[in-house]
Amino acid sequence: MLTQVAINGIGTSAVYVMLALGLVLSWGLGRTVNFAHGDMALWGAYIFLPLAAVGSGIWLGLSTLAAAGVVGIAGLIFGRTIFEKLEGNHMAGLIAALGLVFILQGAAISVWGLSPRSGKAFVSGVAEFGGTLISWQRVLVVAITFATVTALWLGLNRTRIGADIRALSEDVEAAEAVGLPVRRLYLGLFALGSALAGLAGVMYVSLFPITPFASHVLVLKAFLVAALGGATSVVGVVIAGFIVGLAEAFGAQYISAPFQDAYGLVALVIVMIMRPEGLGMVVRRAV
Amino acid sequence: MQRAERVLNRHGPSIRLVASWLWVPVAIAIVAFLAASLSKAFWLNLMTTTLIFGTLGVSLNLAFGLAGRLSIAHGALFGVGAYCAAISSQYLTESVAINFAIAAFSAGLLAALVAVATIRVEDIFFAIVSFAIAAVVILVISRLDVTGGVAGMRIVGEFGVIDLVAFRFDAGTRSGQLALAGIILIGALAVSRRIQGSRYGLQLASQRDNPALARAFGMNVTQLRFSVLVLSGMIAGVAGAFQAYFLQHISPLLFIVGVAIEILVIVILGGVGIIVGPVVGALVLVFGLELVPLEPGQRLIGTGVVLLVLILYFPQGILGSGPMRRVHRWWKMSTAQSEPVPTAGVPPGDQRQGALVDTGSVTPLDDPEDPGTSEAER
Repeated sequence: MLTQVAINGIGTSAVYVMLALGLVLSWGLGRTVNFAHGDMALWGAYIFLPLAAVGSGIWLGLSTLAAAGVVGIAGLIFGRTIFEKLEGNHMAGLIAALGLVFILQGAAISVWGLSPRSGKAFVSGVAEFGGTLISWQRVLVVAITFATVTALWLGLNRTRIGADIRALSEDVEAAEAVGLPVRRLYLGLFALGSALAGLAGVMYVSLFPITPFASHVLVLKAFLVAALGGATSVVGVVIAGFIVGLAEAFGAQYISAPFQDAYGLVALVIVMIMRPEGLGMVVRRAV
Repeated sequence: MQRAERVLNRHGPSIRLVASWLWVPVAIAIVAFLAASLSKAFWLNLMTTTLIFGTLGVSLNLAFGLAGRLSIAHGALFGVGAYCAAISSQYLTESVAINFAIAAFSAGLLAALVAVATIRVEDIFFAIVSFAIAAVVILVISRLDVTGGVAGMRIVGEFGVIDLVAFRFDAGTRSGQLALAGIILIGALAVSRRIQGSRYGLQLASQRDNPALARAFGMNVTQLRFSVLVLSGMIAGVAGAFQAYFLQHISPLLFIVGVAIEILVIVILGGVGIIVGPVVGALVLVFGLELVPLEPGQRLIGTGVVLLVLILYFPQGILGSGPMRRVHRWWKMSTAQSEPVPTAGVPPGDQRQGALVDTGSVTPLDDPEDPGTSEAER
């Protein structure tokens, strides 16, 4: 029972990590507090579903890439037309993102309707290890998440452009002074963050059904995990994702199910009071 | 304008005091006129909803406009007020007054939780944490048995006859409900106006514009933020209790994060930090948008577009820009009250960028030319 709960919790945690990774790029390293992240993820899922209904096998992978790509391009357009104009005024960017929430959600309701859509798994079947059941889909989601985390970590820590981005997030003025293309980097971060939102949406819909209002939960989890992880640290976000996912799984099982979503929040509030910079800083100091 | 100033200067503070409260009878007269003249249920209900959202806007304006704390928890505060009133009406008492008090208390409690959780974080993190708390509260409400889950719950009891000093009206009727909503709004406006001109209000503005400087002057920034958020939450809670009695049946969908965003649009539409701004914002967004025939999805898109256009091109809102700005300035100057504290006059050049929706000067308090500030320097 204990392992079963933990296994299910790990699957959910992987989705949370995936959701928060996009925010690390657009909010933590970039400058846009993207409250529309959940709606972008939702749109990723909605684009994926009709595409995926057509074929199977490698086609599903292509559909996933297409969904992430479309959301990424949308992010590029939003970044260019809205967030770039606000010139790093964080509060104004945050409010503009809230406007985007309404637009994306209204569009989702108009196009796809209010009725829930069932999820679409890439692979079916369940593996059994000593009485513990694991669906292959969850294994796949965890694998994809770890591949993304690794790619992102390597990209940020082992490439030139990654070094540029880290420099940018530490000190914008200095980055500008040494001639980094600040605007373009911010735009790229936002677009890539949006694409990751689309990817996370596909991961979510491969496990759970969705409605246009699912975006509330998606964006909540994304921000909970990203804020808990310290927003700028990929490793911090992975740790935070597992704290939130497992706390929810065990809390729902052993304390009280209706309060499921509150357990991750409790962790966030404690960290916000003790250590406002989030877990990422602790990790960075330790590593 | 010049003449008005001369007259005011000659007669000193007594005129200012009278003038500063002159809007109350005017506002009461407007509400009474609306309650008496509107006859169709549709218009009465729409106007009542507008006034309630105006109250919510005034409440958010206290936290965001005056104190610079952008709360995305106001939808949830509104909801907690409504649900606590409804739960108490079912299990505790049918007294409307007590249930209103319980609603104000419980919403104040949630606001206190938000304030404590964000004690050490600045504006952006405040918005995020307040959003997270609000979203979780609504998710929990939609799963509990006592709240009826997603289906919602009914409130027991109705408004009765209200006997205030000078008037007496039956709040059970539709026009009576409109009048009561108007009274709640006027109360919220009065509290805000009293705060804006006071020492407390100037301290709030000063910690909003430069928390470090405010601390250096010996202000207890934590306490200021805590108290204004609790007060703002209590007003939202009262609005929630009203909403519960008004609708008779409430469900979690009425209080989702989208409602908080709508309240924010109302505040920005009127003009951030302008006390009467949310009333104008609510008239345009709640009353005006209802007159346009839109599907639910299109309505959301419309509201989102309004917010984007505002933030990109008109961050000062309706009352903060153009000809309305002059009217509002005159109004503020002619009614500015009480002695400002010298310490609260933050040097105009010393304001932190990005503290508010600032593209220069958004709130009248931010404006170096603003009579309120210049008076502090006089």
